[in-house]
Amino acid sequence: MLAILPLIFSNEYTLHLLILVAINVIFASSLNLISGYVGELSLGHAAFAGLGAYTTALISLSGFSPWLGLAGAVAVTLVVSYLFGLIVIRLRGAYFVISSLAFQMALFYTASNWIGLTHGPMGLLNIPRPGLWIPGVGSIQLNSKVSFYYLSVIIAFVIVMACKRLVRSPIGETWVAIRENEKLSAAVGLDRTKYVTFAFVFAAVFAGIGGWLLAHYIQVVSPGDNMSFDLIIGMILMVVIGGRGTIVGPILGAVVVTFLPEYLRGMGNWRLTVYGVILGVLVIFLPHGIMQLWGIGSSRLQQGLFAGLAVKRKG
Amino acid sequence: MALLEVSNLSKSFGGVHAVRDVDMQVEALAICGIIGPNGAGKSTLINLISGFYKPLTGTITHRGQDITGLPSHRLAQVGIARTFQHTTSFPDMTVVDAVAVAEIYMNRISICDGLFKPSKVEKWKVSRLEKSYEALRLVGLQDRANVKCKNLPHGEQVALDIAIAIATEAKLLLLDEPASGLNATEIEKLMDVVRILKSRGATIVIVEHHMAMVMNICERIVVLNEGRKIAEGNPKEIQDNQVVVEAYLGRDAALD
Repeated sequence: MLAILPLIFSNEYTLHLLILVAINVIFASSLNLISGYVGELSLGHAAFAGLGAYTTALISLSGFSPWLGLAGAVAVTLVVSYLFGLIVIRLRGAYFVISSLAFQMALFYTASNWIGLTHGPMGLLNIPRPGLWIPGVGSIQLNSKVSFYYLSVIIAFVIVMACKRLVRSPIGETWVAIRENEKLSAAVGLDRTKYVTFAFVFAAVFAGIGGWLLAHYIQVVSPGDNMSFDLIIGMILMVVIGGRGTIVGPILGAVVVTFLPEYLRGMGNWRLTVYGVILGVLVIFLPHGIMQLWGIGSSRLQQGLFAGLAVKRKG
Repeated sequence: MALLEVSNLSKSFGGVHAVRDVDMQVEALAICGIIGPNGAGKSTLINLISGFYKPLTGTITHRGQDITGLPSHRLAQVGIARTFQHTTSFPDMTVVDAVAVAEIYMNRISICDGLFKPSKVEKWKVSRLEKSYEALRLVGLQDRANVKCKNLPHGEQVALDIAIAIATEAKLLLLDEPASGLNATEIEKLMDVVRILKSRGATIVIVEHHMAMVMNICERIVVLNEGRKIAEGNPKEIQDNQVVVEAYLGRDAALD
């Protein structure tokens, strides 16, 4: 079904939104690993996406293939998230949130001020689109929106599948056990540090891959577009609106949060107000997200902090 | 050689000596009770043995191996399981899923298997079901397998906690006040479960306030007061011990 969408929505604008949905699905699904399943709210998630974006921008602007940029983005987010994880994973609750925010701010200001490397707030421009060699067709450049749509959907699909399999494996069971009762999970032999590190690193690497897609799609990388606080708020919204701790939830959330503001464009100046009210109502009446309507998402999560923060942003 | 040997164990919080120079030994297949008035340091001792606190001084030896200061998840892996006093287990899981969590640490599934061989994961999940149900049968919860943990009444919640400890295949079980909040019938059941566990080869340490139960099932009792061990012996010896009576009732009352 996803494959024929471009045939139905042939106009560029809808395709553009669909590509953004695919990229947002990657961001939301990966954030969901650490914030939905493990239950620690990471405000540093957008920074990992930005890290992936900057890495590939620097690599591909130096004349190397964007695919090498992808490898670079994965490697850099993996190493940085592991190192940062050594500190932040020892923390819980509000302390986790604050230190992940500090990480996000540190990267944001580094990107803004290290003019020599990042061009500061101006950003890095003219990032090339990746090429693809298909047997029988030969080498093509993914310049059209349709081709980039397929690339994004395939990558988003692979990442969602990876998340799903991780969640169903012993690792994912451990995440949920730690979220539900940290002491008891330690008493039955589960090493919190080890398993939360897995969640954190996987989430960061997937976000880095999402950042890679975004960089090569928009073809511009700047602190405001790739590292800003707004970005992480958007990601949190998708996870909360869709349903924390579910696989389908963040996908629904990404669709709603990407499309809703666009559909409200007809309202002119009232657009953001109405958008805020709708999101606020959703969070109040469906604290477990849209998935609650199916009765699947009703997990007792770390409601206080997580839902509370989301409500505050909108209120 | 004793299964568990605690020597010279001390722990203080700020200036309060919660546990002071405690020595105790638990023989394999014994049911050992730890009693004492409120604030005697019983729970601190359990938390030290199960790795939730790090001792200030002293050593803990399990099967001849020094386990002092190991984190609790490592202790579970060497065969020491515990239950908690005010337990909620895993509120949103079903009973059988909660027991299955205790078997995760024994899995032989790598991350790559998890990502690329979902069938291996499914097989493993089926294979551990048998063991989960066996643990539930032992505590009499087999008919409640698909109820959510948070919906269990307190008595069954305690039983579930014990089932989770059993499912880790631990040979040493530390029960932290299992009888608190239970009625007489439930305490009878609990004692049956403890005896069955012993007959299946487990060694059990019970921290408890409920004297009747401790005197009934424990072969050896350690009495703590103000962090120190003041007596040790079989139930008869403890009941006749003047120091113990004083600790519970006060000196004047004991003299009467």
